[in-house]
Amino acid sequence: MGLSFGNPLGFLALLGIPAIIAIHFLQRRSRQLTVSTLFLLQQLQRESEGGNRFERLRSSIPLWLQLLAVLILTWLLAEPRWMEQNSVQQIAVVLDGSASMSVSKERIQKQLPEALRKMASATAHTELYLLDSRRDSGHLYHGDSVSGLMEAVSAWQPSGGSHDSAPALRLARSLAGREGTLLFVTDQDLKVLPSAARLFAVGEPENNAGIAGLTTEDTAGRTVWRAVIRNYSSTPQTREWWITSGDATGEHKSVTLPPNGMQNIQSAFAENENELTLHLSPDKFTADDTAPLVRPRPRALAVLLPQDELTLPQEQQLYTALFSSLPGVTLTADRAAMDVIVAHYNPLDPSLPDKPACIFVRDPRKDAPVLTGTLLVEQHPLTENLNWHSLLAEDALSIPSQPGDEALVWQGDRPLLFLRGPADKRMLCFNFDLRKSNARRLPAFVIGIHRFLEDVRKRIVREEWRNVECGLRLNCPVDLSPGAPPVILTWKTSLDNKSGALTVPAAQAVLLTAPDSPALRERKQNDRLLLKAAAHFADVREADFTVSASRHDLEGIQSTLIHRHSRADGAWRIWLLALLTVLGAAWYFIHKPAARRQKPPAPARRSAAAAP
Amino acid sequence: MPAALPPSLLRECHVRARGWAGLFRLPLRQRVWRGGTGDFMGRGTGASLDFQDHRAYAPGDDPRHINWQAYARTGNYSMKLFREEVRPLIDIVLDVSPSMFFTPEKATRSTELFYFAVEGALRAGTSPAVFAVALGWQRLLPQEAVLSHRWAEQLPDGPLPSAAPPDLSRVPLRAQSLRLFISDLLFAGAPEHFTALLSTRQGRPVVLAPYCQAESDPDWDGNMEFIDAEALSHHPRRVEPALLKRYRDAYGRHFELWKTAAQRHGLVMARVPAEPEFPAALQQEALRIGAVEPWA
Repeated sequence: MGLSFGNPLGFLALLGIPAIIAIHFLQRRSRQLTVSTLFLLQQLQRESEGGNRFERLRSSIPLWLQLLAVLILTWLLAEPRWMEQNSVQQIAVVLDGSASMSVSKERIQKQLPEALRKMASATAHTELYLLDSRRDSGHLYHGDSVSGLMEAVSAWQPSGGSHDSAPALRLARSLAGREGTLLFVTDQDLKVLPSAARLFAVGEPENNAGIAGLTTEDTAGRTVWRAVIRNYSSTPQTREWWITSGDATGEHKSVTLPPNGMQNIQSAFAENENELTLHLSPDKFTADDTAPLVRPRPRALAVLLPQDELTLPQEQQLYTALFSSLPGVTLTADRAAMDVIVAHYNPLDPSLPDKPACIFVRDPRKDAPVLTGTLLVEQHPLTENLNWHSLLAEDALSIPSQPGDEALVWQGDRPLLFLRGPADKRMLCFNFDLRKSNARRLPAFVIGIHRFLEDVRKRIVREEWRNVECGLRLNCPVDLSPGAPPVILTWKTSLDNKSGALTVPAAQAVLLTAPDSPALRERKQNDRLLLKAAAHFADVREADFTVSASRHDLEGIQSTLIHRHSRADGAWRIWLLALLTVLGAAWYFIHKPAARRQKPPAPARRSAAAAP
Repeated sequence: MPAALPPSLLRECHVRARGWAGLFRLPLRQRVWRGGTGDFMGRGTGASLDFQDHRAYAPGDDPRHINWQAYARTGNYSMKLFREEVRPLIDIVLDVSPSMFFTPEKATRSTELFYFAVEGALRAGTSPAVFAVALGWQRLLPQEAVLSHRWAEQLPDGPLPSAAPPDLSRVPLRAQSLRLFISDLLFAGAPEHFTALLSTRQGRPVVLAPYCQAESDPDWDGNMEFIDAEALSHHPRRVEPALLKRYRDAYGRHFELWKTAAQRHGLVMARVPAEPEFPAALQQEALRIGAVEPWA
């Protein structure tokens, strides 16, 4: 049965011990006394000369009684409690997995064990759980050893972006139970925490500066990259930056950032240079000091325009201008290589293509009334935030509706725009004559076609190079056909040049995200490169350490745990009685020697009258 | 004048000493003395009733002392000689160093002993010679000043060298006198020197040494700042129980040396404590060794 103390502040009463000793040291000052026998003293040893400023502490009964009284008083004030033999407590620790915690990891390793051991001392057994706030299931450690938990902390790598920790805290609360202790280890002074979690903030403000964003642009045949360097501190910061490409290292350049300001730096990819890494002189937060870059190569989409003899040159010109103006779209005449076909609806041959297509209606009539009726736009990603209400179209022949058609825009009871077919062969049908409408002047028309093509592009399995932000989900279509080979992921980090590989089934490839730390990642399927992504850290909330703070919301937890898992000392009345007895005895011995030291009263002089 | 000796204290002590002189007397009965006609046995022949001897008549002898019975038997004139009765000479030497008066008890006891000696001498029918001594200073105190309690005004004031012995060689002690030396003997130096001086010229020295408990059994403990009673100088000392024990041993040895020297020179030395009442204080030692005698 262990012993613990409900009120450790009671040990402050031990300060009474030095106080009493000091009083006993100082209470006797030099006493002045007239003597007639100094010559006898001077003949004795010289050791008595000089005296001491402090009286040497001498053992006395009052001294020991007073010290004993202080010890008993301390014992009473500290509220000794006897631990229940089978007491068990659960402590769940949730680590904030955001990247900014990488700076505070050393402080966690220093401060957390002490706090955990202090709490664990309140019960005979303690179950510990360690979770990462980025994950909503599983835990990093489960056991009863603080050392084991700290080993898991050592292996833990915080590299995520800003995220909601509530799910992880809810899970941790369910593990710890209603009466268990839930600690959220983070680097910010959060005032309110869910799930009755207690804050264990270990952050400190840092003067961080780093790469806040990257863009690339094709200009005059060159690919130019631009980076934003941001200073998150209130003092000017100077950094050096340089680029590396392969084994070559570029010139080091200096950039001075104003307080809380930013600077743009830019350069161009050299000819035949497709990859490079931008470096910034490192500080404590290294995630934003390095950013890999690739020359972007979007997945190209081949569009086959109408090639029938009925298509007028004006129409051909319109389609060419329209589709060639869209980014990542190439026009092709090769029917085998095309991804999207642009076709006219022929009522004499109403069969539609077996591929993604944009279908337009052509009405040979010269005059037709303008379509009337309420124009209604359905809720759909292709029409979201687009204004179709200004569309004017003449009544032309119509594509007969089929079951499964998904109307996007209605005019009266006529669908003016609808989707037909399964997702991989979807057709966007314009159920009005484009030539006899004002659709060409509507932004919604162009944007709608652009969205449709992008939707088609997302489903095409083709090589792509792009720059992404860390942690984002990578939309990269893979071959999901039955018997499709698995997807192989390879990566190389920019911070420490570590590389690795991972093979996942093709069906799970959609779940893959960009790495949490800057890295160059490749995704292949059956030796076919599908994606080369350069991930850079761009979460400015994590890079900003101005709001970092330290605060431990552990006040009273030790006392609460002790009271919950122990019982009070039943002999406190006896101790109180003993204290009073000791104090009374000390008072007695203090006064008794004083009475004994008194000189006997001087003998009464016999008066002259009494003398014989 | 020492502040410890106000006239009121001298007067009170004198009154008390006069009463105690009726209980105790000075040790004048134990030997013959020299002096004028008095009540005490002298060395020569005199007119007392105590027969001493016979001798042949010589012309000029007082015919009243011719032993006529012897003449009747022998036919020769012979004279009857009687013992001489004299008033003994008494010299009272008072040590007036500040240590004699440094506590009220000791000052009172020293003064009481002094006036007891004076009254004892007066009761013996003598006129004592009273000397006050301190260091190299000595003065004969007129009897009138002693009895009028003004003698303290003539004493030297101010600090003296610490534990400096009185210069007894400059005190004109009379031959064959009773020398009453009242001193606490708390001065450095060999006791034989002083006992020899007191015993010169066939004098009979008696030393009455007042002392107080603050000297013999002090309660010193811890850090002390001693003030020398004579030099008035300050001396910080740390007193441990071991040191206090050694002091007590040294104090005892100091008076053992004095007693040894007193025995060697036939000097009667009695220590008189200051705390008990005067009769009880004399009975402790002085009465026992004959430094004073009871009247009965």
